[in-house]
Amino acid sequence: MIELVFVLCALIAAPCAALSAVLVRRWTADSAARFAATVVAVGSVAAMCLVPIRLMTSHEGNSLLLESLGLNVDWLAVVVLMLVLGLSALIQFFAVRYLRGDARQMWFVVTANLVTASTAVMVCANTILGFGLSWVAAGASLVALLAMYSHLPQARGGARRTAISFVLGDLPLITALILLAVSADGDVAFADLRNAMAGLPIPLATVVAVLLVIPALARSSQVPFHGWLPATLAAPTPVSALMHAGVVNAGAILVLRFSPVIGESTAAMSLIFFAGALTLVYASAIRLIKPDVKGRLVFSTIAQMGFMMLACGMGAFAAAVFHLIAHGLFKATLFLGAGSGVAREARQRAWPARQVTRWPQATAAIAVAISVPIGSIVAARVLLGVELSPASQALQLFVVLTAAVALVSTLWTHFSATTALVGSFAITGLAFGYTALITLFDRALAFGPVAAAVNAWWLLIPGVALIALQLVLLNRPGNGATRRLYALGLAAGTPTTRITRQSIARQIGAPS
Amino acid sequence: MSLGVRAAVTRATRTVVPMWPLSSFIAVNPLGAHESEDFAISGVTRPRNAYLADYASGRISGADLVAAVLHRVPELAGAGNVTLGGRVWTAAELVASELVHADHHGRTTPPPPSPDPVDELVSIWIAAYLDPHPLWEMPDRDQGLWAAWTTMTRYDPRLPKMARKRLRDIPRTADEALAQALARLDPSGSRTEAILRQEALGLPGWVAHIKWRAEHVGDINLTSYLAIRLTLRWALDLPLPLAVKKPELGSATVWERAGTIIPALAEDSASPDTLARVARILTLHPPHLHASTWQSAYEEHYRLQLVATLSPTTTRDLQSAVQLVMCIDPRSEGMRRHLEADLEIETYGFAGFFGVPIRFASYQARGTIDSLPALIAPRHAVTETTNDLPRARRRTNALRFRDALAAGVHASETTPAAPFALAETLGWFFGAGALLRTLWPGTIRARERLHRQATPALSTEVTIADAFTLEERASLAETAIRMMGLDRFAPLVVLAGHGSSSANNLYQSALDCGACGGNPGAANARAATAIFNDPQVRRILAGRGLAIPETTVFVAAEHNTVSDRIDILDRHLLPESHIDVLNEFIGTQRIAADLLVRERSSELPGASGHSLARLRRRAHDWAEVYPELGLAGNAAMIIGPRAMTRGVNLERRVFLHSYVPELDPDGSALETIMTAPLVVAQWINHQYYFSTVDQNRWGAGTKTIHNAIGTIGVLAGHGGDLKSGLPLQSVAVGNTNLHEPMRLTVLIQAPLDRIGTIISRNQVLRDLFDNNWIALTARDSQHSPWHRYGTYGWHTDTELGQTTEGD
Amino acid sequence: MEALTKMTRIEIVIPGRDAPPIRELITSAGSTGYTAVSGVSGLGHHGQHSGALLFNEYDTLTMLITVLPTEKAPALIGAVRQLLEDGPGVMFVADTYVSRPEYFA
Repeated sequence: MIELVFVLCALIAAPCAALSAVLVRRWTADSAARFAATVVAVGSVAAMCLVPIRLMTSHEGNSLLLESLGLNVDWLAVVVLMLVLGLSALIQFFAVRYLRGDARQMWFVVTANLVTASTAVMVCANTILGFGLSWVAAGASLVALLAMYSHLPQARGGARRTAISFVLGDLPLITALILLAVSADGDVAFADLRNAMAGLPIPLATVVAVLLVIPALARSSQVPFHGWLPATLAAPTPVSALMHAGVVNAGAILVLRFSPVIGESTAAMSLIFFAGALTLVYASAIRLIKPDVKGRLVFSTIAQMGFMMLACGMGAFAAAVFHLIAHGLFKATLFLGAGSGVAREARQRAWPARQVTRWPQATAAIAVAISVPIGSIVAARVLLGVELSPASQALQLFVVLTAAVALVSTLWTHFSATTALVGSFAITGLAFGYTALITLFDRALAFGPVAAAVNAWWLLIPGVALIALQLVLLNRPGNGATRRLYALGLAAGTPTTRITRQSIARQIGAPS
Repeated sequence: MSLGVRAAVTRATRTVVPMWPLSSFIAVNPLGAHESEDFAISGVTRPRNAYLADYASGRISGADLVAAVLHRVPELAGAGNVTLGGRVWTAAELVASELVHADHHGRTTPPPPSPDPVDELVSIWIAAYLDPHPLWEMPDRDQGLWAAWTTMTRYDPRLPKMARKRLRDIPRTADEALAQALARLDPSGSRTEAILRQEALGLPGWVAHIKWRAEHVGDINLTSYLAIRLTLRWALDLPLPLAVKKPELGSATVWERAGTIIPALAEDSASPDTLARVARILTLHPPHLHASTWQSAYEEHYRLQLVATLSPTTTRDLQSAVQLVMCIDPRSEGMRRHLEADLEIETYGFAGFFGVPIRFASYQARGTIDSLPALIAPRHAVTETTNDLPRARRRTNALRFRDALAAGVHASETTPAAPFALAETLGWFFGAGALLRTLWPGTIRARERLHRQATPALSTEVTIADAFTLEERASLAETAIRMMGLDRFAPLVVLAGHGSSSANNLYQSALDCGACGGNPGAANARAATAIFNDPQVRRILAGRGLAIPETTVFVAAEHNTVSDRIDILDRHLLPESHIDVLNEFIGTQRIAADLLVRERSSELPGASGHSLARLRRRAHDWAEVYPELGLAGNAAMIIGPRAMTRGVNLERRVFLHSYVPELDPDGSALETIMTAPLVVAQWINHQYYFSTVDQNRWGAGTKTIHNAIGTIGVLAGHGGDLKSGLPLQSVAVGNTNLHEPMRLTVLIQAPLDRIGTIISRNQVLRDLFDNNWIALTARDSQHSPWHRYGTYGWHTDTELGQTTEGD
Repeated sequence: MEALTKMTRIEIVIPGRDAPPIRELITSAGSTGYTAVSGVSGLGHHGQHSGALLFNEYDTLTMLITVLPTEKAPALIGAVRQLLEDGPGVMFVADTYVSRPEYFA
């Protein structure tokens, strides 16, 4: 019962906030925004309270009540609810001051809360049709949110691109849901999805699985739907923060919810994996060329979503969830703080010039950078008694790589006892914390083994591609191939407006 | 001839005003190139209905209009009267009433130029080339923009195949390519400059920044930029952009105008004679002057109020214990006013760099700042030294440690395969940090305190003696004293520069001191203090008749314009004897600071009912787009003794520079004031003016979609033109203006003939005053009548009346 | 006079703000260097110009002096002439003789 109360509280918060902003006209925009943010904050606290409640009480009785409302609040839902509501509240509090005086502040409050509300309902939906409905609603409200500065041509272009990508992604979803519903004679609960699938002939099952992957790729801005996210920068920073942190990860949520369908189909899982891998490499490359702060953040998000899809494709679902939550917090903070470049340069100007590293120190740095990360990850696994699937183990290679890169550059910049000690302790602590936390996620989310998961060895392909990318970077002054890559990347990184494309196309047709 | 092409480019881009990078934001007059012609020709004003609304509300009175009309067209004074509708109208009144009743304002904003595909194709190349911290540096960047672009544009997938083929075969230097492209487009060569000028209108922000960069850095210039544009145009067979027609002013004939105005003023129709007289009068005030006359009337109202509030009392003989010298910045006016409530404090206004132009670096720092007005080039480098070497070593090590951590995080963010795990580990900490920063901005101070614990503060001195010779230092000191009119020296003289603090603010340097090149004024205050405290310098000054008593000590300080605290710098250099006086000053200052913060909060957006601590927290709040008002509201500059303005509430709208003619026998100090601080104030005033009057054209738009390219500038959204000018949040809150757009009203108390000589000797002042970019009113002394500087020289300002006799 | 090489000496007086493009022209023309004198005063068609202003080099006059081989001079002279066409500024061109031609070529 208590759980029901808290769940409802969490879910109602955002729609309330959206409504309140519309109805309460007598207040100033400032007060209305503050009120809406507070309501959503209450909702997020309610979501956080679900954790102790879930741990302490039994789930069985409550789940029937929730199911009657079409909701299924399992651990995945709780965790994503906390993320979405928490981030939404945080960003709205930020926006109370950031959008002060803006003529469109109320538009932001209403549409941001609509996005939050539909995402919250989507993650708690118990049936496929409920999920589908709230998925489409989330997409529509996001397009509305992006139209905040509709007087700017760039904003209109961005909203249009997003709408097109979402429509192209949602049509396959609707088709797949119809197919499933027809074959099961009505709405299907996620718990019964496996049984419903058993009734379908194999080719149809594969088609449905592949159709379900497409909306996930579209929402997470993966190849070939990678064009909409870079075009959305003509919306205020809080909008970008909310989108990158809470909305683009919906792709993984779809995959996870429909894992009884998708996880059985090799075609679908391979599609996810390779789309993710391709996007990861592509976006990482373009990100290196972008000169502007927000552009770099956009492509970083696209690459991170590629990583998330990659993890899904390998069947490491818990790792994917872990990633999307941590990344959401990470990216929201970076976006909100996107104006701190000038202050940072002023601060760093006062630092002493870097000294040239001598060879003994450089070698020691490399040695430490290789040994400490590997050692601490292995130690963490052994001491915490953790058993990880091959996929998760493969993904931990990324952790080792990051730690090694961080350590080597820290020590290369300033080799001293303090740096070495602090660095090593930090890496060890982080490694332990990471391993513990990801094991916790694994146990709590309890995804079963995925039948058609792509073999972890395929990770070598994007891995090698990334190493090749690094080598291209280091290749100075470069040759024709690197120049070509650079030019392609530079052009691909910025969306071209319709007018430019039309003018150029017109000239091709015109007689010379 | 390639040199001819360069010359043509220079001529075509003559009206482009260079744009400084974001890290040292310098306010400039965006129409600075037009200062040699009258404001009415190229100047922009508000739309007519704004003025009519002001007229209706009383902000502009009929008397203001008449005064403005008379000032613009002095001939109207002798143009006789007209009887209409039963009353006698003077010529000026008639012309003024035409402004109210008839719309010949004419000037509409030109339609935005149609989007040009070349803009989009070129802007990403420029942005990538000028990126200060590229993760993947552009291949061949060291060869220059043209070389880099020519090798790579053939791979640009946005271009059709035919274009790419053409682009394989282009000249090796930009000059040749530009000459070739021009020859193709215009074989006769007669329209070269027009074509170039039109082409340079495409991305005005980038063009302005490239012009700055060509002069100060040299790795890019407008020739290669225009060469790229025109070569692309040729390769794509795109037509030249259409010239935007200047909007036609209503071309009503003077008879039509007369025909419109007479029925508005009188019921019965007028005789042909009256019609002719009215027409003759109206001829003197043609329609193209109407807009600027309205603006002058708007400013006239303020000017009258300002002059009326000036103090009528003579100088009080103050034997103050503390003298405070602050920057001319309008924000100082508030602090000075609150501090002078304590009679023991005397304040002065002086350019914020204290006459010491330096390139400054902190102790062993890797970077420098150019702490001087943009009007001069830096020639002296100053840094810090310390006696406490062990502490300095610890500090350096602590900073290196921080640098190493930052390098580690940066490397894991930018190495291709590393960011994924970085997000997974750091994300949790970042999330907690974001939560704290948003809901409890004060916690940032705890973090800063931690930093300060870890990095020991260092007591240093500035190496001013290494940068300037003794003779130079003595001259700087003498100039400063004469410019300020410091005729007596209190035991403690505080030189307070100013700086601002804000978080997550790309325009933070616009809030710092403009006289210091968009940097905080602490370094200059310390340098000037060191010069004034130097016994050798004092000996030389004594020889020149400017004796500083031995009991006088100078101390450096910085006024933080968000918290309004004045922080004392280099306290360790202060002798024991003066510590009490200083502490007393600090005590008084704290009280004054609180009063000032409270006063400012009435205008600060969203600040009603907030506590002082909450208002001061805006300095650390990363979500706050209005940390302080900056120079919004600036309207006037007063050059004269503080006695003129002491005790007067100027509402933080006035630049105040102290000046006393007695200490300036040859007028050189006044000339320096009028050609440097006045010009800087004028640049700031016009930047605010134009950014308010037309945000879309001269302002940077709303900060909420700003997207920084390193620290050189901002884009709005994902690409396109670099934004120039002040952002919306500096001049307005939504649709309400924070800044009243008025051209600078300059009031000077100094011998009129001296002022006149200075103006005639300096082209810049002739341009500004004669062409109505700023207005000048002056009087010889305390008791003389005010005179207005107009088309025919000085004329008594009868509206201002006589000054009262002194006490 | 021993064998001195004839070269062309060009002096240009312009407002400080217009100096950078002319400096660029001088170096593009192949001149090996120039001398800049800031704060010159004068009287001319556009009025009087006071000399050095203490804190303003933007609005004061600067004189740029350069010496370059006679073959390279016409290009530079033509370009500078274009720039000076309708603004305040003057240019003086004279023959000069130098003893170290390699410094200027």
